[in-house]
Amino acid sequence: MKIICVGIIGPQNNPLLIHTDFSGEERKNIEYIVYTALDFCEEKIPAMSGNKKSSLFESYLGLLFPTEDLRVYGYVTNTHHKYVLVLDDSDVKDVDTKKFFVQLHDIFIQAISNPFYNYGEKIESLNFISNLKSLISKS
Amino acid sequence: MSRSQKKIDKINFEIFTLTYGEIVTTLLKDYEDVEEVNNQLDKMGYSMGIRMVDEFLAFTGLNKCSDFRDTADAIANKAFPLFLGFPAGIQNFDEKKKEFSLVLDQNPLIEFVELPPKYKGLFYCNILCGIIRGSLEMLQIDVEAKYKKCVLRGDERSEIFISLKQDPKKGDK
Amino acid sequence: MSVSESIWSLLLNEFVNYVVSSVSEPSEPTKEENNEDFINDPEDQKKITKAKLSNAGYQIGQKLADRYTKDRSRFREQVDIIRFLCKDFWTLLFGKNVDNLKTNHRGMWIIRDENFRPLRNLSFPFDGKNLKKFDLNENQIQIVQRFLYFPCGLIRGALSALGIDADVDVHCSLIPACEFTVISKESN
Repeated sequence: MKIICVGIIGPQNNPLLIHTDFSGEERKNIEYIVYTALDFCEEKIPAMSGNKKSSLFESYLGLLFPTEDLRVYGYVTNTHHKYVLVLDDSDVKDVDTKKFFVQLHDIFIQAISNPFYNYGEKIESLNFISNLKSLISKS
Repeated sequence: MSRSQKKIDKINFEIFTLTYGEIVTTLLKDYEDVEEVNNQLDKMGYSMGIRMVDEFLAFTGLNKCSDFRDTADAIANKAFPLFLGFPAGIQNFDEKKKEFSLVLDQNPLIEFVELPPKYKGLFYCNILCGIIRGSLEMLQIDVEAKYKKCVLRGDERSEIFISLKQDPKKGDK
Repeated sequence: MSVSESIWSLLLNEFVNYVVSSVSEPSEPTKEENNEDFINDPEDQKKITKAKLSNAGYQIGQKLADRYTKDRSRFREQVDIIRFLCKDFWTLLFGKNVDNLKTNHRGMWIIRDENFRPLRNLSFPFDGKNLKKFDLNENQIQIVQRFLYFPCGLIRGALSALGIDADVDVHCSLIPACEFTVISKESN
């Protein structure tokens, strides 16, 4: 997978982390894509109600929308955090993107468990960034 | 060796670790001086330690330690596993000077913790020093327990230095 | 990894005692702004103590909600969240399910635990014995309440992280039983 960007957005749609190697204008474009993805996430997240298919209540949201040369995937947690993955690939299997999100979830939980992290704030943990880079390079 | 058949009640470490984290961060908000936070942690630990001895003796069936080496062993290989779930290592045991180092390879207290650089002077787990001091005092063993190294500060390992307070009036313990 | 229940109980006790004494008698080394805000009124002291302990629990409750809901599919309904709180979450934190749950189906729940873990090892200076299944007088209730602010915060934090913004209060008159009242801020 060629990962362009990993975004973690909080329950109030506040960005906790936008990790990308791009900078300047390109970075702004990527950020715009992440925020656009949020709207698609909202559409895929059903309002609480028992009368829906169980598949709608999985964390993995799948492909949110393709752009010209990028594919954007989403994942939402029980605590309403949204993860956005922007890829530069057309040949990507769901099982791999899903696996990435699950591992991202693991390192996210590790990072927020730091007592010096205040819940809801931006993630600035060096350990987390390092774990994320490691995860990206393995994916 | 142990006459006690029942096992001590255990809980998941996460709630313990996170509670301790809140205590430390609360103290850091209340006190300017990191050294004062170290002291407060030590005091809390002492208060806990004096209350832990009975349970320790009940669950391990140990009698009073016959010598200092026994004391070290009791702390590292009986008390730590009983309360914290992992043993500590004993190093540099000096029978003459009555001192040794406790090495902590695993420690639930520091799981998930990333110490910000501004708190470099903090001994995050200083509560353990107080616990050791308090519990041994209940057994009439007066020690000094001090953190020498801590992985959270970038040291290669975590080490508590324990030495018996030598009282010239008493004989060897 | 596990630790003993006792070391957590003792730690919690120390935390409560620290907050209570730091609020009522701040000492020299505290920060300047704390000294200026020194509160004399016992009612205010109680409020600040409650806020400090509850907020500490709140932080942790949120973090644990993330951790303990990681491997399950998302909640469909509010009742699923409450069920998770009363069974899985309660067991992970307090070693058992709640004993009784009542609701008015309009955003209010009453949760009863007959043997609440944080209350199991409280002892009182009055007669040196552990107070078990004793009715409490008003004064003793005040003291016990201090040990319940933190668990209230835990519950409030977990619910908040999972999407239920609620006030959580607790009442106990018969240790170690206690009753939590959860009122959703959206309820009528």
